[in-house]
Amino acid sequence: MRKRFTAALMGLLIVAVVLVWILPFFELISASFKSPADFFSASFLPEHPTLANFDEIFADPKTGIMLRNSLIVVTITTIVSVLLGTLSGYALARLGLSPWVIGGVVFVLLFFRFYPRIAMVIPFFVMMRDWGLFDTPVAVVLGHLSITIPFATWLMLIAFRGLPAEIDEAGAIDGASLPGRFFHLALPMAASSMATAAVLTAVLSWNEFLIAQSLTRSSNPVLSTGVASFITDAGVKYGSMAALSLVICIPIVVFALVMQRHYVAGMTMGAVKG
Amino acid sequence: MTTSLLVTGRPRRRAASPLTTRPDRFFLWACLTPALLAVIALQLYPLLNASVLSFREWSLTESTDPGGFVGWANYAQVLSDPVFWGAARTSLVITVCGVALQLLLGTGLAALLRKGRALHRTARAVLMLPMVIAPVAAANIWRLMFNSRSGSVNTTLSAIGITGPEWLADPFWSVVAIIIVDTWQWTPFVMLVISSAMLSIPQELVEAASVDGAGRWRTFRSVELPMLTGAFALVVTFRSLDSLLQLDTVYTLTQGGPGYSSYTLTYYLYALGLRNFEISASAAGSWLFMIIVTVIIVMMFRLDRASREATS
Repeated sequence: MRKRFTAALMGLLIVAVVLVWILPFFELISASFKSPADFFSASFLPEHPTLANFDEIFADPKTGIMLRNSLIVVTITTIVSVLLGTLSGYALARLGLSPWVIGGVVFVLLFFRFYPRIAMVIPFFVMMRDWGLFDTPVAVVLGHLSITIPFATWLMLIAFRGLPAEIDEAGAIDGASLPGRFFHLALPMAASSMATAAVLTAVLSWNEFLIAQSLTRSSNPVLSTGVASFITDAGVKYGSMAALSLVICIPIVVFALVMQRHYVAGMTMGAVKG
Repeated sequence: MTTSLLVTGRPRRRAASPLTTRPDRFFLWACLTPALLAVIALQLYPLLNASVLSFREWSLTESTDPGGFVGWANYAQVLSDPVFWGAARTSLVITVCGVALQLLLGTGLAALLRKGRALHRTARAVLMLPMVIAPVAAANIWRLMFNSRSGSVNTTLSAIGITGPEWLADPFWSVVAIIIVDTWQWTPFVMLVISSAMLSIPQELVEAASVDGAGRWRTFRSVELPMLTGAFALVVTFRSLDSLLQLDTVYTLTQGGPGYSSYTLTYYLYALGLRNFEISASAAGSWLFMIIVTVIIVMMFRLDRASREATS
C-alpha cells in the first residue's frame, strides 16, 4: 500500500516537472497568436487570437529566402560531412597507425569541436570576402563543414574501430579487395553510426548561429540569423518574433523526435561505451 | 566498464597491417585526403591566419587590407581593456553557476526517470526538446517569458506576491536570466548522459548492496555514484566549454546589456571584431581565449585517461 502511494507520488512529481519544463513552448505558441495589445496584459492565452503574425512573416520575401538558404545549407553540409567523415574515419581506423598517433588525431579532432570558434570566424570572414563568397549560403556551408567534417570523422573513427576485425579478415582470406571489404562489409555494419553522424550534423547546421551571423548580411540570411534579428529596441515585434521562432523550431523538433534513437546515441556517445 | 570520450573500445587487432597491400594503402590514403584537405583549408589556414593578424594593425573601418606588424600591441590593447576583464568575470560566473545547476537538476531528473516505464520514457523524450531547438529560438522564447507585462515569469511571481524584476534591463538579473535560459536548455543533456551511464551500471551490484542491508540513498552514494564519475567528468567538460564559448543566448537575449553588464568573452570578441571591425585586436583576444580553453581541453584528456586507468 505504502509502496503504491510513493509510486503515485513519484508519477505526479514527474508530470509536474515535465509540465514546468515545457511551459516555455506553450508560451511561444500562445505568443505567436497574440495581437500587439495582448503583450501588455498578464494573460497567458491570447485575448484576441489572430493569424496576423504568420501572415506578416510569410508576406515578407525574406522568410522564403531564409527557409531556402537553411535547407540548402543543411542538405549540403550533412551529405558532404557524412561522406568525407566516413571515408576518413575508415582510413584512420585501418591504416594501422600506432595508438599514439591515433590519440593525437583524436585530440586534434576534439579540439576543433571545442576551441573558441570566434578565433576562426574572423579570418574566415576575411577569407570569404576575398573569395567573393561573403553573404552567400556557400560561405555558411564552408563554415559549417569546418566543424562537422572533423566531428563526423571522430564519430566514424570510433564506429569503425569498434567493428570486429574477424569479419574483415575472413573477407580478406576469401580474396575480397580492401575497397570491396569497405563497401560490402564495413559500410553496412557502420550504417547506424552514419545515421547518427547525419542527424547530429543536420541539427547542428540548422541551429548554428555564430558562423552564419558572421558570414551573411541581412540581404541573404539563414533562419537562425533571421530569428535573432528581432533585437531593435524601438518596439520589438513580439508576435512576429514568436511566429518565426516557431518556424525554426517545428521542423527540428519533429526531426529529433523521429530520429530520437540516433540523436540520443550521438549525444551520449562516449558516456557509456565499455 | 569504463567511461571514455576518446577512442572507445580497444581495436580487437592492430588494424589490418599484415593483410594490407600497397594498393590497399593507396586506397586508404585516397579516402583520407579529401577530409584532410578540407580541414587544412577550412581550419588550419584560418587559424594560422588569425595568429598572423593578431600581430598586425588592422581596423576594417580604416583600411580594407591589413597594415604593418605592431608586435604585441593588440594583445596589450585587449588586456588593458576593462570590458575584457568584466566579460571574463561574467563568463566565469555564468559557466560555474550554470553548469553546477545543470549538474544537480540533470542528475536528479536522471534518477527520477531511471525506470523503463512508458511514463519515464515519454518524460525523457519530452524533456529532450529544449536541447534540440536553436539557442537563438530558446532565447526568444525566454524574452517572451521575461517580458515584464505579459511574461509567465513575472505573472507567476506576482501571483504569489512577489514583484519580479525587470529581468533584461537590470545588470544583475540579466546575467541570472542567461543562466536560467542555459539551464533550461542544457539540463536535458546532463540528464541524457547520466541516464545512459546509470543504465550501464550492472544491476547485480545494486541488488547485492541492498541485500547487504544498504538503504536506497546509501546504495546510490556508495555504489552508483563512484561508477558515474567518468560520466560526470564528461558532462562537466562538455557543458563548461560549450557554455563558455556560446554567443547565441547573449546575443539574442541581452545584446551584452544593459551597458556592458552581461558581456561574455565570446560576445566581447564578436562585438570587437564584427561590429567595431577591430579585426586584429579581436584576433589577439581570440588567441588569449584559446589558451584558456586549451588548458581545459588538456585537463579533460588527463581526467579521461585517469578515469579509464582507475576503472579498467
